[in-house]
Amino acid sequence: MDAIQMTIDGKQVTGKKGQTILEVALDNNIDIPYLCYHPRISKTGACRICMVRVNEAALKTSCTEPASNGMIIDTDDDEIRELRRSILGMLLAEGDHNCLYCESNGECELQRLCNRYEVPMPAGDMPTRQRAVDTVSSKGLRRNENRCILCGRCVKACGEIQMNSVWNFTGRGSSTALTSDMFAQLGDSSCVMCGACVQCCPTGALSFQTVLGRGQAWELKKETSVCIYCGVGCQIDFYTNKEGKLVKALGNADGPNEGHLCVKGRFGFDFVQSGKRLTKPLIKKNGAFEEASWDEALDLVASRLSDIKSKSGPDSIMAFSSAKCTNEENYLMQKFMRAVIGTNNVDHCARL
Amino acid sequence: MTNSIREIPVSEAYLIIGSNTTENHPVIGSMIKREVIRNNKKLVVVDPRRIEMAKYADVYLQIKPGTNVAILNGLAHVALKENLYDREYVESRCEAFEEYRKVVEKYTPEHVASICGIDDPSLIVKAARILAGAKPMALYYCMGITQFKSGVNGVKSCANLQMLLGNIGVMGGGVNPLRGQNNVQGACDMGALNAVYPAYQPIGTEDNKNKFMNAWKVGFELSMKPGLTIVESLNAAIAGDLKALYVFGENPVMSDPNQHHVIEALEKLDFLVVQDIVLTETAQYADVVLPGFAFLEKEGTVSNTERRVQMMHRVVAPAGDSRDDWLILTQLANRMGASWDYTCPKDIFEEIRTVTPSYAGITYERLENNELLQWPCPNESHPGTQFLHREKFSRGLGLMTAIEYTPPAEDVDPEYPVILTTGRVLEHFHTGTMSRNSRILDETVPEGFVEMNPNDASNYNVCDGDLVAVSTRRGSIRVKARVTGRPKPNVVFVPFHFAEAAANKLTIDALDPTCKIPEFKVCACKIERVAM
Amino acid sequence: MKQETINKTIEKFGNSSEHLMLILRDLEVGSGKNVLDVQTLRSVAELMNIPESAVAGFVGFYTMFKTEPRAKFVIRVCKSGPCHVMGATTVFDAVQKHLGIGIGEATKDGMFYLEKCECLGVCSVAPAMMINYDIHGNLTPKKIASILNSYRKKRPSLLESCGDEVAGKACIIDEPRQTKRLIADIGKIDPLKIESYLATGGYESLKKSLATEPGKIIDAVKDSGLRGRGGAGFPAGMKWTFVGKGPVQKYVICNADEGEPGTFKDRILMEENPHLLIEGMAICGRAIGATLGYIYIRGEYRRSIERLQKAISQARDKGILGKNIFGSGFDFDIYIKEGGGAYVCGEETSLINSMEGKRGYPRFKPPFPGGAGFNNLPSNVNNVETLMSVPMIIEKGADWYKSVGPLNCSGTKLYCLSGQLNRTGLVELPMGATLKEIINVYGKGMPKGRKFKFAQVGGSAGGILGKDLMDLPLDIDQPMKKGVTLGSGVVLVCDESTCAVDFLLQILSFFEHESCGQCVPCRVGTAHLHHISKKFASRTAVPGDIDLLLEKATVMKKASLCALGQSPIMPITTMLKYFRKEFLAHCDPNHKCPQCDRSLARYYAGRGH
Repeated sequence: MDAIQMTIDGKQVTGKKGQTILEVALDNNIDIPYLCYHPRISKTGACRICMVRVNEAALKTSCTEPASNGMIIDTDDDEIRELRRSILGMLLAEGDHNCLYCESNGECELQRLCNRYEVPMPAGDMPTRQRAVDTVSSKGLRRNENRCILCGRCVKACGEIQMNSVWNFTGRGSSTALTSDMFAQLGDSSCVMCGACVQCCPTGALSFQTVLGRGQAWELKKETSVCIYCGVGCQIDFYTNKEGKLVKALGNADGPNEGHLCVKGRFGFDFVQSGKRLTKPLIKKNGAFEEASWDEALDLVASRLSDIKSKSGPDSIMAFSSAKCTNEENYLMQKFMRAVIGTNNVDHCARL
Repeated sequence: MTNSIREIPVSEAYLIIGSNTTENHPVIGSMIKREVIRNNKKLVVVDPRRIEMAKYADVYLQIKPGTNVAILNGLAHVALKENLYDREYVESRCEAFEEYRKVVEKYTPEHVASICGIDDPSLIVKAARILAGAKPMALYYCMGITQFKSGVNGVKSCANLQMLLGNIGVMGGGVNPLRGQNNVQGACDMGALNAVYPAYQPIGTEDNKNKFMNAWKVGFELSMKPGLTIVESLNAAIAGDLKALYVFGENPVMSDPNQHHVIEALEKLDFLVVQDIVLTETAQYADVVLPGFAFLEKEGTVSNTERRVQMMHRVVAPAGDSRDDWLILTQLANRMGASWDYTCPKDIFEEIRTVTPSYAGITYERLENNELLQWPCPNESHPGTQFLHREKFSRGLGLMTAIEYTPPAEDVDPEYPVILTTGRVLEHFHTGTMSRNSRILDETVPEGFVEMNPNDASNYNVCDGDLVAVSTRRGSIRVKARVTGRPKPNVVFVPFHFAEAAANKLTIDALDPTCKIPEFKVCACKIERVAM
Repeated sequence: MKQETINKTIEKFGNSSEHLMLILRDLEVGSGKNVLDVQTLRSVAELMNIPESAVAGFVGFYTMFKTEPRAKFVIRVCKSGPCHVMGATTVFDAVQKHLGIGIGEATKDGMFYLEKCECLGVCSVAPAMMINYDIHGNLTPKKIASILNSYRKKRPSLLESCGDEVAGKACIIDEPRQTKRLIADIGKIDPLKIESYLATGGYESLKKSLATEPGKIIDAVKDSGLRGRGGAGFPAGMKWTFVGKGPVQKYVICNADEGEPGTFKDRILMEENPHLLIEGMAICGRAIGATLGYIYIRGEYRRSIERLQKAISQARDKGILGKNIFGSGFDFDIYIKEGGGAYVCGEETSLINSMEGKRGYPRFKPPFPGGAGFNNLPSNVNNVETLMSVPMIIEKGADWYKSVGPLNCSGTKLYCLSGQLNRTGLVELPMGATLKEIINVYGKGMPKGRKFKFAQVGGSAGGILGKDLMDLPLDIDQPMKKGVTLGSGVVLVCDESTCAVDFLLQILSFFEHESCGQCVPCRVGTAHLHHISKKFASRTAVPGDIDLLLEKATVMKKASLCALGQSPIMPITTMLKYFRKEFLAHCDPNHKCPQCDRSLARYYAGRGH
């Protein structure tokens, strides 16, 4: 791999051939702000926030400009700051960016940048257009286009990650809007609710149905686990709120899924906290289940299995192990059957 | 999978057979779609239903359910006849080629087309040329290959084709079964199977018996007699030979073929223990129900379809008085005379490493550092194995197997004139224990259905949304009809997630003679419209 | 629409998204109501195996398409600069009065539907309108009535039947003092007959090129000093050297998306001498090693499209296009792509996206089209006038070409005269003609003895020139030094009766309408500029709004992705340089300005178009 030496903000850094200035900067922990760029989709170059000064001369969008040897990059100066402030101000003026009830409050990339550049709420009377609000048609996704900055990440997430191309822009110029297939409402479209678009959305324009009302972004706790459904083994970052309730699931980029999920991984987690969960051991007495203590239940199972083993032999006992349980648990189950009961009668649903 | 998910971009072509990838393994489905749509990779899809993947295929072969062996032999036939196969690979790395060739010779495109119900035999030729012409080519399959009386033969036929085309042991190639459950790979690796110890060490050898007796400090002789498989055990229960059953995180009433038969077996048992997270259809028949942990409440490792071992972490506090599954098993074992002293899953994993050579190099520490580890990983400095059979097969030479097509157990007849096939839908999983208790998933697809071709619909006077009875010799369910161009004419599809319209009331419990997999994918049924 | 019709149409043009524009245009005309309904579009998507959203996004981008039923005939009245100055509001009045409909409405009988549109490319006969695809100019209320009546018995068709006044020949100023090179043969040759072109020595330069080393052809073009005539003025020969090498398909793309308001030169050239373009493209193909050429013509130019199509098929019949042309072993063929009503597609990367059947978003550069253009393959994009200049350079040599025009801007330039002049039309003069000469000699001065107020040179993206710049040589470099530009050669002259505020409003509404919306500064900036200019026109502005215009346009200049967003700064600064007082006067709520009132009432009532 060809290495590139360049200077960013006076610091000598190394990049790889084929990288853009922004990619080199990010790899070197230099924080160039951006909104339309996302590492998992192709470049757009449209938000213009990531403009930097190249070789002490022209301003270029760092997300699209190829890095080359010997480049001197300034990521910040008075003119660049002023431009970023102006562009962010334009975005604020274009939409309805009231953070109060926004699902993304606290993790919104637009909010973060407006804070960083101290952009005031736009004064004056610039026109805003009421845009589509579609929060109920889809069971999984909410959309409020008044918060949309038309960065195009969702369009590309659907078209380049999920490969369904449900989203696209329609209209033109200041009338540009999202369309889902040919429908105004997402619920009418062929959307499979993988949620890739929401995961990429930098604002609260797209959000999950599970989020609003379940705590603020900064109160949520994140823990990584592996999806329980099919065998792909997607790594998922699960978020829980202060009450310990599950709020949302985001694909983790380090897993085999490279950050992507399907509708089951995305939304199929609330069974864990459903009211249908068993919370106490049950023993059937006279044809009906009664709650029991653990000691009672375990003693009963142990004594019944021991009885049957001594009466009918170990091969009269069978266990179905589980492809939904961990390696450790499966190992223990087969060990239990082989080394405690004394039979090879153990199987699981590999064939089902 | 012999190969890895991250090799998908390396492949030049894909053969997807018996896998509705975009619904059942959607993340992998998207990755393959991406290559086909954006990078113009070649794709051949073989499936009785015109699944989404068929839309992107260069050739789509709509075969009759149960004819996989024939179509795979047919593809091989063309590659052989047109000399498109990898002669050097076959000569240097495989054996028994002549026997294979002789059988395959009979499978001309015309012959195969008539078995598989394909109108245009030239499509088979076209598909074979595409697959043989692109290297590396990766074969992906799923239960549409395995869930037949001839399941093992289907798998072997897949391996045959990939050996013939020189695609095994090659980056971006391989025979890649897509595992249907998040740890089906690991459960197999751990020896939760009737005839093997962990890492597929056969129970029938003295060496292995002694090894495990020592490792487990067992005071008696470990059994060398093969155990029962799931479907066999149900038969044994009905016969009165099996007295007790411990069901751990499974739901055979929903997942096993011929539901009526399953229930009969469970009722016959002296003692049934079910350990699960909700009161499943199966748990209703239990004598004792033990509440275990759901996946987000537990810690441990799971192994995915590409043999990658990954850590699960506790995300939420356990529900009520439910208990960690490893702890339940430990406490039970100790009540029955064992003296297990595990204090956490890591203790168990350390023991696994000592008896499972392919896992020996994998540690919690390495996994927590997010190292990408795929077994075999024999020692702690080993990087894991991205793809299998590099340079040589595990057994030395790749064994090609001459396999003849055999028809499914149950053919259509005037009384049951339609082929029934079963499977999953995107929004649900298996018996629905998890997905049907997840609000958004259940609301999105709240009920079962039967998918039928417009031709069949008009034959049976059925419109989209009508209630129909689907019946087989084993049972009958009522579901709404979904009239779509997806299934082949005279083939209907019913998903098996829905207890109120359980597909497995209908399915047949015919088994593959070798691996005992049930023939979920094909049986004969009839369709009748019923008044709402 | 019937599935069968849709299927046939797709078959006719080819089942690939690059033909989407032609397929949809055909279907829309065939609908009889100028509509592409959702059901039709869904069928198209399904049959062509492209995402529904891609079709929806495409249709939504190009203003000529609509998904709601319109009428048998769509009347599009031009409101761009020249027509605006020449009385577009009276055209709207006349149409509305005659048919009893407003903008965005259809007559009850389903016969007519009224829209506003941007430049139709017949600016010398402004005001103009287009009925379906027929363009009519020199409109008066009486003429409008008779034109509309004549349509009542017509059937919608893509075959043009424009008014005689818009014919190319009729739009050339008859004045002997010109230096006729590009237009020398117009009038002498029959554009419908290849024999006629061949008789004047046509295709001899191509023959000569086929016997010349490609490098030498490029050298000749470089030596000639030919610079791009589309507006940017980039040296053509140098651009040709940027085209990727190696054994891959390369393309010659002719940019015939002449959308800059006030420009009509390319239309005249294509209509009157189509073979000259074919010859120029083939020579370019030979020079850069491209075997395929595409002409991207705006959809409004039906006559150009028809004549070029005819010329291409004649050339193919003669073996001048196709395989092994003139027996040289070199293959070259040309296909036509059409636009759908999007000014931004004149930007070369937008044009390429549009050719591929996509929304006409400009691409970021690098990569440049020379490296990754159409289908991501090396492509050279030149304007019509540029490519048509090539054969004469090959024929007569670089030195001859350089013999007119200034040192760095050699050759002749086609100037498009429009607005309040006694004579309007196309003239060909050596590069660097002055406004004084153009107005007095070729435009015959101002009508009715009115006084010159300003000229807009270079179109909407160009600047405003006042009396002080009457002697400025209008070549490529000199205007830059004064903060203006020659652009595509528009000279729109306005007399004292034109209101500066009203004129700028018209320009800024154009930019909002034409912004593609991809990059933030342009999408939001153009909307804001239009809004602020409307405040001046409605006398609700405050003096500080002048600074606001400048501030926003400056951000756009610095940060926009393509030239469209970088442009408004020029008309704003130059207009304010001369007429700041007029803008300040409009801040007074009691200021009288009937022109602003009329514009606002006629076609700026809503936001945008």
